[in-house]
Amino acid sequence: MSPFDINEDPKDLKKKWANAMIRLKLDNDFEPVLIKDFLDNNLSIKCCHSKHGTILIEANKYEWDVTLPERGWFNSVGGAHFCCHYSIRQWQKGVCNMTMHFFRPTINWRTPSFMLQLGAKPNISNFDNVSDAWEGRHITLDQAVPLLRGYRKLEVAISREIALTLSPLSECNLLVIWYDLTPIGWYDDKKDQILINNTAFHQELFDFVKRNKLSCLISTA
Amino acid sequence: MLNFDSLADDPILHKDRVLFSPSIQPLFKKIATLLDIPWTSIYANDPLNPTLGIEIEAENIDPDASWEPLHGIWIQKEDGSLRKGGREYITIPLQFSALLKAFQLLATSIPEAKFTHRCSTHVHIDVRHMTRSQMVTFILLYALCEPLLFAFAGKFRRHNNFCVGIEYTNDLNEMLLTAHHGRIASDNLQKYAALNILPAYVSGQDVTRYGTFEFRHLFGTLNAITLMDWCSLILRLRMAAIEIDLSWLIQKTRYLNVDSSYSILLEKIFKDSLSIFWNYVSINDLPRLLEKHVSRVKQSVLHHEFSRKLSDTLPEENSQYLKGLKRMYPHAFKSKITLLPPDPLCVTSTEADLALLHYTWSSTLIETAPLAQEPTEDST
Repeated sequence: MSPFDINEDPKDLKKKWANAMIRLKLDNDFEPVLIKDFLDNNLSIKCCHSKHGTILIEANKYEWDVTLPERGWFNSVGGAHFCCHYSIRQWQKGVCNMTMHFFRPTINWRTPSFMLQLGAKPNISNFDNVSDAWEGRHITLDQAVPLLRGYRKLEVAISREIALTLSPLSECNLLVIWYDLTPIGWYDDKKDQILINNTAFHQELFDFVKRNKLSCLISTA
Repeated sequence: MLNFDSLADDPILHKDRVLFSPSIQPLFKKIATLLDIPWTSIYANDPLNPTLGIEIEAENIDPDASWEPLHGIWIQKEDGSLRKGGREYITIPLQFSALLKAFQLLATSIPEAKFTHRCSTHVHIDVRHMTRSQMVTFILLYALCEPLLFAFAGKFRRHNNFCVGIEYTNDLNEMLLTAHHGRIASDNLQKYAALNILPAYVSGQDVTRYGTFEFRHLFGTLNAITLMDWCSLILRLRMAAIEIDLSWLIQKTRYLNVDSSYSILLEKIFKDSLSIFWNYVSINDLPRLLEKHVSRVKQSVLHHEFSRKLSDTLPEENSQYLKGLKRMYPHAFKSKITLLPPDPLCVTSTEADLALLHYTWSSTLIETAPLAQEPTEDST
């Protein structure tokens, strides 16, 4: 079912949806597309798709998913992002600046100017990786370690709640474990051991290890 | 993270007593007769028997119907978000015992009312007498029980943009800070949160200061049983916030995911009203529903030096993180980079990251995406 009201004024429709990302069902899978414009009395929608480029979609012939991604970690280009919703009046629809907040809590000292200086250039994989925010696909612990140790990622989401990052401390080279927005301990990849500093989250980590059938030991740092 | 140790046990909110002229007494007495309550309980300011204010949005109302208050109990207002003659019906502040009659009167007054996805029911509950620590407790209890409240309100409301739950946002810390300081701690708090605490603190813009917390979860309805059940759950939550000691709750939360004593805590909060939830969730679902919320609460209230140090420290020279940054973004390190410490008031303050991510989507598509398929000529 189309979420677009074709009887709505095209200007209002564009105001609500333009530059927002929603998911479109193509080949049995929902894939994110960026809404650009409404044409032919709102019956056709000009969208951008990561693989197909600019495409024209007949609004009523496809299945749309306007659900926003759940709160939590997901993997994206260069590392992992955390996404959460805003509770403001969301007159704009889909995933956009008004409805969602994406950030990297591992580096909350990162400033806009720093981001610009980093010059993280846009590339096609950015777009693809955003779909992970919906899908909840995460990298396993085994896959995460070489990515981090090889400096191919700064942080890796291994579940919606848990992420691993490189250590910001010079005296410790272990990987930092985050639970949601809180660093809670270390992962020693050589010994395959989790060292918990913030013991309030022991049960959460224990559950994660058990559910994923991991062999690593958990101990208090 | 907040420090609750120094929290003074003083009520911070207005204890305003509404003073009425004697001329209004006849109206109150008339209302009291209709609702079968003592007239002194209308607009009552009783800390142990708080008043509630209900807002019900309905559509399909006869456009020629009068805009006069219904029975002196329900005020009618226009609401721009509604269609087909939509109106919002708002009660005067009433104690729980008066609500059933009030709902029945409204239902008989607007039999043509229809409730669509645009309609909702908002319940304001009086928090004027609560101390700061009680209000912090109220918010924490709510944060723990939110999934149950959304189970009652239904899946559609859970994903609604006009009652966004703590489950999805980062608002919990800011709500706790606000309750802790007795004033709004962040511009991020907005009235469209499922639990809207702004009416207790601010007046202006889109919000009026009522001295209430507003629960926005429920769908539009005039089903008296649903409405009474919903109001009783909210009332129980408020009563529990007064009865339960904050430090006990924090300690309890620390081990709640370990001993899985969810149902014991819920019984303590909702008492005999707890059974209302069993129509919507199974007792076996409690761990799945609540454990993430318990963890969220722990993040907000349990202090830990390690967590603070790691999240606030700039990456040190020779640290793995800085090496990773230099390896991944070598061009950026050719010029001098200034790292600024995080804003202590804003734990997750990187608006720029969304801007960047969004920029990357748009730019990717505009500048670098190949125009591989153009199904029709129009698409060019």
